[in-house]
Amino acid sequence: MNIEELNKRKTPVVIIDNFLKKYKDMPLFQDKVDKANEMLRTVGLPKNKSKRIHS
Amino acid sequence: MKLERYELKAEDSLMVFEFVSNGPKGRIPKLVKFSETNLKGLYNLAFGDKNLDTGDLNDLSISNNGDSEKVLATVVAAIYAFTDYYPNSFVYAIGSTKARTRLYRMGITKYLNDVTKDFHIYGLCHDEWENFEKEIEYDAFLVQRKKRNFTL
Repeated sequence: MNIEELNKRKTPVVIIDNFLKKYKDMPLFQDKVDKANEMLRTVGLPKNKSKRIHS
Repeated sequence: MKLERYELKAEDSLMVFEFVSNGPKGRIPKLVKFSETNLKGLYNLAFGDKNLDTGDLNDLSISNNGDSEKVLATVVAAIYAFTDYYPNSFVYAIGSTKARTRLYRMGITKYLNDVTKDFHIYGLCHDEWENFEKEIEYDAFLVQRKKRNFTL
């Protein structure tokens, strides 16, 4: 399989660049993470999925 | 769905991705980040422009680089890569503005038949999750990769 065929796949070819690690623990987009946590507190998960994620 | 997309880079845990939008406004680096939340296995997805001078990130900027579909296709590709690596995860996404949330909804709607082959997709409406349907305004989205059956 050549690179063009690989790039047509749904799962992409990803180049690993560990320079990006510096962003991993930075509180980026924290307002959105806060919104996600608020959603979890008030709404939770879809009803038929709640058990699976906790298992 | 064979949309054009940008080349993706990521650090080795696939929590942070980077790509470069290329259009009339020039080359604009963008960062995609999957952040842990208070629930193990549920990640928040956010992306925005990276300012090369300051290193700051901005998820409110409107690039107008003429490639919004290619940018969204690249973010979707990052979700594929992330959920390949974390197959049981949930990914939560909300736009930085209502207009952007609507843009995400339109993007999902446009390719719904394709993406539902691979993902469970939920929309948040009146503080309840429901299976994503076209023509409904959602406040946020939640996706989970469907289980894959491998046969030899």
